[in-house]
Amino acid sequence: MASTTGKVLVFSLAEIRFVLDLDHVVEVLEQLEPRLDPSRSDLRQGIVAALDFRHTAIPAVDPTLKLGLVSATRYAEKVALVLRGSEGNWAVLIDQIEGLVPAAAMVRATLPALFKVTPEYSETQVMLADGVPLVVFEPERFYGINQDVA
Amino acid sequence: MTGFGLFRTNSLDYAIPLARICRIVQEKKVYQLPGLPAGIDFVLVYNTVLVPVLLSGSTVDTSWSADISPCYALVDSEYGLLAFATEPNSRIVAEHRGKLSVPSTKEQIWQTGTFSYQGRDYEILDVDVLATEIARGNGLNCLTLSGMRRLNEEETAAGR
Repeated sequence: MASTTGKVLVFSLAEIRFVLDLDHVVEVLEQLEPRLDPSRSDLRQGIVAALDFRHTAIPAVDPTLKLGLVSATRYAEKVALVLRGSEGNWAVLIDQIEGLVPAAAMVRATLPALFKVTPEYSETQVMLADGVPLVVFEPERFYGINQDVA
Repeated sequence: MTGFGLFRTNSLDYAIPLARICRIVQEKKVYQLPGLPAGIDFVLVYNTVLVPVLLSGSTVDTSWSADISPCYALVDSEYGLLAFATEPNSRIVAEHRGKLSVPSTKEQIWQTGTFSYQGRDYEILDVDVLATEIARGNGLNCLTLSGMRRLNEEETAAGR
């Protein structure tokens, strides 16, 4: 995965580690409770709340809905990554930030042939950092005009 | 030598033909990933390859977590490497030291027969059929519901 900053952000979600190109990230927000408005949700698009970001309501997307994962972290305790998208800023809710990793320190993992027959892995990339698999988080799959329609 | 690797999980005694076994690794960490095919709950990393872990038992007994399964038999299949979870007391046994039974009709398409050794019966797995069934989306059925659960019931009925 290409990164102009040379670093990638590693975060966890439902005990799985993901990696995101830092170029996508506008800001990281914690202590979300006063910022979240769950009454403004659209679960068909994975939007679980509106998030107050710089006095603007932006969609907050929970990727676990699309990925079929179960996270033990409540929304108010999650971390929001505000990302820039083709339709403006939006936020993805994650469990925890693990840190920054130099992009050069990662190698691409070889996916088993068994996974390639599943739709989930037809487009998924997995990187390895110190032997730990990191799923490449592709924002366009979760929000925006190009997202996958389930 | 023609023989079998004999392995045990907490719910299944199973055998894999020696020619298919590439390596047995210990204390490998396993990882969850999203969207894994049914029947596979974890992967392990071998060199830079993600290897699906089978028979991890998590769908049968949730108390048996990845943390207490320190051994994996890496087995070559038509779909590449597969890692079969096992307790640490695995062994390699020559075919002539046990008794090989091949039924005329298979109860499960992924079992080719039984290898009996020192009073225990080990189900011989056809790893290619297992992998094919997983690829077809039938992994959960063949590895847990109709497979391991049935074997559990049989063992319980036999008082083992």
